Amino acid sequence: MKDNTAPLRDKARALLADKAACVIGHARDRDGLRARPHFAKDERGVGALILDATCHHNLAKYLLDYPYLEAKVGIVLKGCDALALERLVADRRVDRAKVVPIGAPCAGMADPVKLQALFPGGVTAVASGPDGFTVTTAAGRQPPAPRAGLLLERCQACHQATPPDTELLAEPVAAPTVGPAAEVARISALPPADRLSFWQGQFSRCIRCYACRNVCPACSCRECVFDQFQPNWLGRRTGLAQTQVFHLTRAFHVAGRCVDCGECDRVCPVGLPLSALNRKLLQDAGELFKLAEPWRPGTTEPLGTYKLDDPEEFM
Amino acid sequence: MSQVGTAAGWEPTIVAFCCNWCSYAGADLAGISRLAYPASLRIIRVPCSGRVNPHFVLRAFQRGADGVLVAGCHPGDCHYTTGNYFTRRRYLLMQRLLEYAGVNPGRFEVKWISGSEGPKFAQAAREITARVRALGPNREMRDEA
Repeated sequence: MKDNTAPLRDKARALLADKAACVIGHARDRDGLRARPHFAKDERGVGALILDATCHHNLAKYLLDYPYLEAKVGIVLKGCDALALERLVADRRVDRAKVVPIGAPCAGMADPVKLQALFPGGVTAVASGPDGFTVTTAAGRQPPAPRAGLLLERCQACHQATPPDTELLAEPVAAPTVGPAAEVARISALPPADRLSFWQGQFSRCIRCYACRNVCPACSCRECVFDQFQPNWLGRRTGLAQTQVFHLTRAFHVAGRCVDCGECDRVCPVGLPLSALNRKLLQDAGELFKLAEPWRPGTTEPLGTYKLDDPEEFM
Repeated sequence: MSQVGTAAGWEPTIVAFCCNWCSYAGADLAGISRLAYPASLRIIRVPCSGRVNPHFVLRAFQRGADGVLVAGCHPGDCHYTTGNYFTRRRYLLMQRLLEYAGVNPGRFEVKWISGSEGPKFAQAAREITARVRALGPNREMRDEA
């Protein structure tokens, strides 16, 4: 996304003047590579808003923090975030009429880790233009770097670059065309014993912090099964089998409801490939029940419906 | 659940979720018809196969089951009209997810067994027991004893 900070600030100012409670966007974090969620409520807050190729966060789930508000809330939505909002609306967790989406066309976000490797001296800003990412360092503006090698993993399989039916801050852009990550196919092709040790190796690093659940726009139950003590669905131990059950259950709870925004991968502190679980379920649901993958607004969730002629592969 | 070791004479522990209206009656019929089937099944009666939360299956494996069988009415015969259609979709996905996560798909099975199919129940019990016995104890997803 190119630097759309100025039009965003104008829009936020107009919204706040129009009695919006808050504008949810991004602000600069500790360095030029990263942004953090930001809640602008006044002129000072508006001045901190930014919108460039470092604004990774899917902000849609913060709308759950405003359930009883009379006033509207403005929120910056990229293409993928717009699907997340639709998910929350379909789950009746967010009242669409209370939300003012600010559409941010996005040609892909820059991966801070890859940028750091390329510019070890530090980065002050990352903008996105037609030729790739334009990085500014202490030494000044650098020539544009090709997008393909610097994109976030999830942006390589972009489903939607521009939010539909939304007032946009800039002209629509095309989705990056790197092609989807072949992670699912790669894991599926492993021999069963290797597949088991791959996943056990991954899950054994899990610290059960539940960040993947907390960030997921499809995981918005008022009370999550993993927080309940009665019934005790799953113990609090961090044994391997418990963690396996946690991750498979979590993936199953979003089966076919996942919008494939990739936030679970981004927030995981130990870097588990969680979207490889979600994508597997999306692909299988698409193949078995002939559905669009990922979930699209207006369609029924695959496990919330049935057809008389569903396949019976092993029954 | 009893944790069966790997000593000689090991027999698998298989958790069988049977719907009240068909499969549990089928199991009953197998019993009163005096059909022999392995004693490895631990039957849990549920109102409908649609009651079986996928989490139950995962949890059974975690707590030491070597195999899991979900049995319900034939599609079209559900006591609640449509419950088993949902079961079917759910476990089509579940089977593939288990396989993807490295759990041998032979450990998990869904069967449609009506109340009059006692022999089919006994046959299903024999089949899954033989298969799981060949696979050995569940080491894929199980709490350390």
